[in-house]
Amino acid sequence: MIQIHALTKVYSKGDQIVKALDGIDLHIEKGDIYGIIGLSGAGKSSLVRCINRIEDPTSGSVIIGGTDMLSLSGKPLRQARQKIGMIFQNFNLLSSKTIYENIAFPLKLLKMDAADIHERVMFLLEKVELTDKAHAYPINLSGGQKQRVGIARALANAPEILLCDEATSALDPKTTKQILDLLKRVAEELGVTLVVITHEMEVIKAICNKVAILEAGKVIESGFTLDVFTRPTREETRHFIGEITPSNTRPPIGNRLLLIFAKGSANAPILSHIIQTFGVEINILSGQIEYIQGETVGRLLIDVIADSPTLSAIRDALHQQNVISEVF
Amino acid sequence: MFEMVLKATIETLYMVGISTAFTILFGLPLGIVLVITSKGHILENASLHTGLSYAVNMTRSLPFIILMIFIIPFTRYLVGTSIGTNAAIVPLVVAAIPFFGRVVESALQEVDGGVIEAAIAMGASPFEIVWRVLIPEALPSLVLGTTITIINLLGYSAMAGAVGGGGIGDLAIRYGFHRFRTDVMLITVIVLIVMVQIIQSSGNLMAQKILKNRRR
Ligand SMILES: Nc1ncnc2c1ncn2[C@@H]1O[C@H](COP(=O)(O)OP(=O)(O)OP(=O)(O)O)[C@@H](O)[C@H]1O
Ligand SMILES: [Mg+2]
Repeated sequence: MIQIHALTKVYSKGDQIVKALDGIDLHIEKGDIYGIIGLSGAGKSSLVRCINRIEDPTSGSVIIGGTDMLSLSGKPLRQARQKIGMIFQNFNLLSSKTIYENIAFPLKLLKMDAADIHERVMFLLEKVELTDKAHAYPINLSGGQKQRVGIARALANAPEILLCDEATSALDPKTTKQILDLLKRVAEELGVTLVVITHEMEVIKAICNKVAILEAGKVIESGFTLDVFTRPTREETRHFIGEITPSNTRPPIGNRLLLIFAKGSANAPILSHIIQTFGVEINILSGQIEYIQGETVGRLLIDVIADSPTLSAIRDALHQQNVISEVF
Repeated sequence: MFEMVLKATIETLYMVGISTAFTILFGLPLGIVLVITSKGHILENASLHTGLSYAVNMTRSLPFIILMIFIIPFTRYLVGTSIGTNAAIVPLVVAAIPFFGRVVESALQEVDGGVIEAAIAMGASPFEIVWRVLIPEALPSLVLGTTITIINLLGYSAMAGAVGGGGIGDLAIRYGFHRFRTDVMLITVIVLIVMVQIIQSSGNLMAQKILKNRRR
């Protein structure tokens, strides 16, 4: 659906040069909810803006549904953009227009006739549960309601792709959850591919089936969300996934291990089984359980007092039970 | 005397009305072009922007009375004469276009960049962005800016009157000043004050009404 290859974006302000994107390769398939996460300044916005060409990439390619986006300009580019919805952190609604008119805006650009516009807008208002606000102005809406209007407007043209740049970053946690649920629902019901830009891991865990971690303009990790969360974490990705720290920093007694429980293993009494089988002492330092894509993923930091052959045997046994162990 | 004042008032209204129409006709596009060709805007064009900006500044540096005399050949060319109400309209418009252009420019600059970006993302063309986003979003400021421009035109028109353009200014000079008719002077002042008040309050009212509508 979206193929990004060797994409770079360089901003130059006077003699200062910022390499915002540095050779990005991404493959987003139809039906994906693809999360792109990174710290502030990592290049997330630049990346998403290169997809619909609000920003011109410096080099590389962006191919959407077989069309090379970089070869387009003028009217064909505008037509291509009409097939890509976008929602924003600050909603960007027209304050001079009612909710109804805001949602009708992209349809007016298509010169659709009033009756068809009406039908489509009413359908969308119902989808985002704002039918009663049709004739209100944006100033009277809460943040969550504004973002729902943003979503309805982005979906008006029945796009195949919806780009979300920090769509929930201006919202409180409860509203964030409602918006994420809505996004996931419309993505499934309307068959829209979502590209979700965020700096919050919670957003990724809640709705994204795939994720790419962006740092300093490079993708440092990518793949299925569950895989990324349950594979041994690397130093570079640790502050995004599974950062786990012992409650105090005393040196390990024996061997310190980080265990990642996935594929159902978080729900089984594996640790007590290990203690019984190997007759070792285990000291639990900290732990957490997360729900990612409907699956339970647990993380546990432990100290084990065992000699090295026993430790290997323990790690093998854990491995067989789908528990990943890393020497920490 | 009443008839004299009435005639002068109508002349002034005529001058100001026609010049306002022409000022908007040329000044609105000027302001739009100034904004959209500015850095980072939808049709960025540094040389056009700088060129227009210079031309605007140049025209605005001339005091109205000097501008009026300076463009007499142009006025003659357009209306065939350099005196009378119609002839006064030409310098009025020439002076007001750059002023109104700046007014429009600053009103449109206020429009949130995010909203423009959203329109671009929806595939809007530059024309559609101007017509469907910039102007509606900036409408209250545009209304207030137009009000200020009309009041300026009223002031200029009094000056134009002084060199044979007719209207209230003409009356004030000919009777109030040259013939020491204090009563005429007083009435012209009152008429001008009332006109400015009416124009300003209707402008405020309109702008407020638009804003109030959006708070519904
Ligand atoms: N128009 C611009 N001109 C110059 N530099 C820019 C511009 N836009 C972005 N940058 C720079 O490019 C880098 C990446 O910016 P970008 O906005 O893509 O980051 P981001 O990941 O979206 O950050 P945030 O989470 O703060 O939104 C930053 O160093 C930023 O300063
Ligand atoms: Mg950003």
